[in-house]
Amino acid sequence: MKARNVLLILLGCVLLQVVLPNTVWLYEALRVQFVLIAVVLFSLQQDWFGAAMTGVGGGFIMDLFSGGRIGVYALSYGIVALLIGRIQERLFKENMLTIATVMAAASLLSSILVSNVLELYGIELHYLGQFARRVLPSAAANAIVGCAAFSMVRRIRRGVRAARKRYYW
Amino acid sequence: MSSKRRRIIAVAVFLTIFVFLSLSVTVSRSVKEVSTGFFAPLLSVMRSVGQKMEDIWDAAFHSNNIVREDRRKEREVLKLRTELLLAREKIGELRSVHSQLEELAKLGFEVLPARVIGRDPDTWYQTFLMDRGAKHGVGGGMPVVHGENLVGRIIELGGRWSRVRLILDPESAIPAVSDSGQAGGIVVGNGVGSLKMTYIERGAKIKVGDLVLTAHLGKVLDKDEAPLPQGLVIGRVVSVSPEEEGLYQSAELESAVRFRDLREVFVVVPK
Repeated sequence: MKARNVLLILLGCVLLQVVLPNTVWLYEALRVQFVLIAVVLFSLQQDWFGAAMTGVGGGFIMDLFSGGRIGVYALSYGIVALLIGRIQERLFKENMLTIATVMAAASLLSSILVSNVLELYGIELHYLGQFARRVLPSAAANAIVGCAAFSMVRRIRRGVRAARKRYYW
Repeated sequence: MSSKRRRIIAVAVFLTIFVFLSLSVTVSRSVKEVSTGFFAPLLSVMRSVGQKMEDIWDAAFHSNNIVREDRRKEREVLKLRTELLLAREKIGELRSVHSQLEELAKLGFEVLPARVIGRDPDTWYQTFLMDRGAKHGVGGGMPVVHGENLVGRIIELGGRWSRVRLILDPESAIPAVSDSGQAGGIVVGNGVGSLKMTYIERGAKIKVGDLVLTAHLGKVLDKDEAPLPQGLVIGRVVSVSPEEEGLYQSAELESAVRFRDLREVFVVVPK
């Protein structure tokens, strides 16, 4: 996919995250991180360089719309995407359990990175409280929604491929 | 693209992120003001659509919750009425939202209604965007209230939008005093939805149930910030933890504001 289209999708995900009312989520910690899901899904299809650039791009857009410093999300999403880009060839992507695990791991790792960067700026975060109330439920929600999104994208791709084949025949 | 070139680009990109991270908050904010300003009208429209969807969602799925909420509010009103009767002597101190706002006006403040148009994309920061900005007379550091309760302060400002940092945010720090006037301190957010009043002198009298209000400290904390009016309600003390050693004690507070469901707020603008 072209870089411009990827950025537009990531921007759409951020806007959705910003405007979706809180009451849509039964519990605030279950807020799904659409950008992270998109970054992970794109990273699973690309090599380390493309994945890292997608992660940095998605994180940078998040930074522009968040209340903190610029670079916090760009750095953490960039690192997460780079790691996924590095290992994606060794993963069996047809298994949904693999996708769920990658999604949850990416969510946890990005949270650890973001919280550590914030701690560097002297912002006191209550790690145990944050992880129990926010990070773990969010990782679970991201894993479930990520799997659904992956399955949907795969079906669309298969449909497009089948349509192309029919057209050529 | 050759492998070497890609590595150089990747290193350059990550170094650029470190440069951004080391920029001062002011520079970082001005970069964000441009981008948020560009998307603010779109956010406003999207939020309106979202609000309509939310209403439909509520009507369809949350009818039980509404009934439960009504009952809870009914109980709360009864409790408040009883408290009001018991505190008749102190009735002058208990102000309704309207009289509080009138008082603010008398003190040289006026209130400007604003609509919430977007929330922080992640839960690490507790901020929201609203549809009032510099063109409406809003300025940096101005307090945002819901009734007589303090919601937060403005940290980023555009022409027709601004960003409010909630008092729940771990970066928020509000000078405060208990309603008896005997305990002063700083109220900070802990990032997980509750408030903590710190730096209360060890001997100061503060107990569960005390109201904690904003204290006027002039422009000590930041010379560019708008003054914080005295007497806005921050929360009620739910627990006090005296430290066995040290000079200070701290207290956990609970705000009356349901931050999750905020739709409309008021900006307190100095006249």
